[in-house]
Amino acid sequence: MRRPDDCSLTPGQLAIIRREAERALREAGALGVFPTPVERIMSVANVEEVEEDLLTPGLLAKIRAGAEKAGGILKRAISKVMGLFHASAGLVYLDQSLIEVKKRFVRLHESAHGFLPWQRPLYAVVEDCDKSLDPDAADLFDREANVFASEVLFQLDAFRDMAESRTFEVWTPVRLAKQFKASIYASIRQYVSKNYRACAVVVLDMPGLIEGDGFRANLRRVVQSPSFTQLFGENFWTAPYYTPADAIGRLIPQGKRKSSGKRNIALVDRNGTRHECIAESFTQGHQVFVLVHSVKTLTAKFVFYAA
Amino acid sequence: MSDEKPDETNTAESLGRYLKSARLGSKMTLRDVEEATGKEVSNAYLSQLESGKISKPSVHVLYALSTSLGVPYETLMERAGYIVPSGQRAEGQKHGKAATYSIDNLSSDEEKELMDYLNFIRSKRK
Repeated sequence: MRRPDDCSLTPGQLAIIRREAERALREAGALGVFPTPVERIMSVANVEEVEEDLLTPGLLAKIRAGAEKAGGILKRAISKVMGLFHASAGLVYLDQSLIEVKKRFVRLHESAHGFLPWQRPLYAVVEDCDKSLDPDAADLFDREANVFASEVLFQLDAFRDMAESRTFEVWTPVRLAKQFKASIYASIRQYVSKNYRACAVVVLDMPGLIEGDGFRANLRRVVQSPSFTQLFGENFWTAPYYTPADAIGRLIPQGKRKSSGKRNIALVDRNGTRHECIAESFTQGHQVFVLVHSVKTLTAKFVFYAA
Repeated sequence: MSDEKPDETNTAESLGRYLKSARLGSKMTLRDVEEATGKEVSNAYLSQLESGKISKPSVHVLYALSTSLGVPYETLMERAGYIVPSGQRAEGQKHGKAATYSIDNLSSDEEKELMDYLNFIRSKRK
């Protein structure tokens, strides 16, 4: 299923978050330190990580104490949660089964709730009363925390600047991911979202075998560069899944292959103009990333003005 | 007329009156506040806020005003309708009590149990 938008901010909101991310990096003495020292960011955010897993013996004891129904609800809640910030205690809890690069991102996300001065006091207030943030504010705070985490992890524009000096291909963010100790998923998103080229990445779930279609890969998310959106519109890829019968589906690596190599495809922009594009895919075994970028306008429309 | 409109207007007027009285209490002009917020809140915008013409200013505007006017930020957020009674959100809307990184929204029951659990852990750590 396509994932909801989790990082869009208005230009004004983005400027504020980037300013706060820079402040955090500066206060932590982490600007230009690669990979970003997450523990130093947590320190300036005045948050402390609880080392134990969320599912500790304490939880089990509580469940066994007879609160069967409450225990079931709690287990369900915990199964949804990868990270948690207890604002009034200044404590961060993590799902310790996450891979290390994901943990780094979640630590920064939770640190954002503690560092952004307009977020922390509100969470502390609503934690201990019968009130909540209204859903729009809660959603905004989460998107702000995601953007903060990304800006700190990729050191504002440092990732983009490093990527610019390399060949435009899916292997560039894959290789840079190691340097930034970030996930491949986050690195490819960063690569595309800040790219000056008209490019996009179509993120698919791993394909499943389907009788008739051969296989089917569900669309998980699409990230577009600003210039791609300008050319092709906000919602260019709308199909819920892809199969070998379509251009995107044919790029999905088969068997033990990790990538497809580069292939030409044509995309039609919102004005009806065809663009020659290069597409290539990569998979790390959890998702398939199809990176597409426009290289040449094939058929342009001409407008003649009367003299 | 919808049921929501009068509430929004009331909220805006209540917030506006509160901001105006806080500003006058601090003996600040609209321009003083603009300067104190580092021009994040213009005097024209604040004037519209005070007269109830803007119902829900952004969180960042309210934070800047709370700092400049020396009034509790939580009060401004509540008056602007950003803090609401728990359990009133529709299905599929974001939970607003626990600061989580989660794969799905928590139900009100799940959120309550989780917060109780955090308090339980905290009491054990002391």
